[in-house]
Amino acid sequence: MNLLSVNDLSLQNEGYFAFKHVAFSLSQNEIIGINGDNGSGKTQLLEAIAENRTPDSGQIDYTPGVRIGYLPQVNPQIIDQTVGKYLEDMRKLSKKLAVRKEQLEGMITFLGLSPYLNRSVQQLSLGVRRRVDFVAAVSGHPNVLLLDEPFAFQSNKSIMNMLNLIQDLKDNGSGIIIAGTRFDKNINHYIDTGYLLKDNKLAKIQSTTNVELKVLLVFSIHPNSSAITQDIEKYITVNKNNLIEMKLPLSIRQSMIKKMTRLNYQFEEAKNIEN
Amino acid sequence: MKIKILLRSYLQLYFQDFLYLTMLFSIIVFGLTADSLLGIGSIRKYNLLLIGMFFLALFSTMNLYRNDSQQNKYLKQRVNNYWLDALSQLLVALIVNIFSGILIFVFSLILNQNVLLDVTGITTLISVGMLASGIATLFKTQWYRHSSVGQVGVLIFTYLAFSGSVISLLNDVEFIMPPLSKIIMTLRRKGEITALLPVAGQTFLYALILFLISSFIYKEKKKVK
Repeated sequence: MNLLSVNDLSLQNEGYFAFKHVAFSLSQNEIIGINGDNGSGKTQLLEAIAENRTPDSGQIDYTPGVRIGYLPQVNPQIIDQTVGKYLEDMRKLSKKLAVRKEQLEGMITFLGLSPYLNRSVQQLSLGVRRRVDFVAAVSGHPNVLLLDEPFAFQSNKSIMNMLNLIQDLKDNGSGIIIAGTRFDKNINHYIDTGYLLKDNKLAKIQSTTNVELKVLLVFSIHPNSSAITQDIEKYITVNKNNLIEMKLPLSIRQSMIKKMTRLNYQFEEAKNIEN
Repeated sequence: MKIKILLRSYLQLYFQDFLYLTMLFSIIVFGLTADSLLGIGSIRKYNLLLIGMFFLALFSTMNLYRNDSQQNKYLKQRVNNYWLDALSQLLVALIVNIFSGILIFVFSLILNQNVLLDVTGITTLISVGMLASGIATLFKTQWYRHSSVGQVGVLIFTYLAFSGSVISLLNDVEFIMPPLSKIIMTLRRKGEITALLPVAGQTFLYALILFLISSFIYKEKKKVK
């Protein structure tokens, strides 16, 4: 299902175009990556989609019920609350639609923010503050997530953890737009559709689209194995002779092994395959 | 929850850079020392305190909107409720002006056992503060799109607030003028703080109308073609 469509959108600042005639759409279960040099207009485009800037012409159609989560490039808000209190407040803003309290705690732990829970947000380093803002954006469980340079100041481990959370959101029906100057190979594995914003125009990048590696996982079925859930079923390619074979993106290999083990399936082997 | 987050944020912005506290402290010191240093009576001192309250509320509310325009953009996007935001601005101005009004009056040495005088004195200070906050709110565009319009608007309204009842040319339209000068003139004419209660009510109502007009003016209209 389409979440939003951007049609012929143009925006200028004091006579200079930030971008011209931009058009694309974002669907459920899709991650879009937008690359471009500094000053190419990525931030302005995300600001327009987040309704913080009014475009000069064109149209953005939002599917009714769309809730936007936004991680801006720079968040100028001075927050004297502790990390724990701030994130809980941000979660509560989305009321019943937000992630559950335990899920928020899980995200905090997963992104290595637990040691900072009692620290004031304004005292944090840039990298940690960025992760706090990331969790704040995700905590409302948005169905459209806009991320502007989310991986700035992050270690490889933090980037991979953030990507896992992004992938999890995608698997649960959200659409995500990530803007960044450039993405390395690891990040590109997660991107479904890549765009380049250059000379005020947005062009699709063929080479980086869906270049992700896939993996073939084999599990054996036991008498006490539970029924396969719907979110897993879509990856199954073979189910015979007490063996289940699944083809899935490399990025979710670990989480799938964990899920299947929890359902009492025995992990047998994994093979990397071409897309 | 949303209003709690907004109120918390606005109060933080008021107290963030000490402008408000510095001005408030200066007015309190003036109230405490005016009798012994300047030898002016209670009525004159109260008149000056009203003027001080007006500028305290005007500058601190303008400063609030300046900080708000720089820091709160993304918080407001998350809250995503314009009317709640406008209500929070009114409530936070009320809270801060009640706080200032009580402190200024208590430390002015005018406080005595006449409850009506005390209540009227505090209420009038709060009304004048709300009037100034209302003017700052009406012209908060100076921190957003129309910087010059906002600044000139504040200057004109401040001038009208002080001159509405003084300049005879404006007598016919006095009812639409910000009623600060009316308070000052009433106090001079009647010589009693208790006589200010009706005009304090009028001032408070005037301030509420300014907030109401502002909330409609600043409601964003989506303009995507």
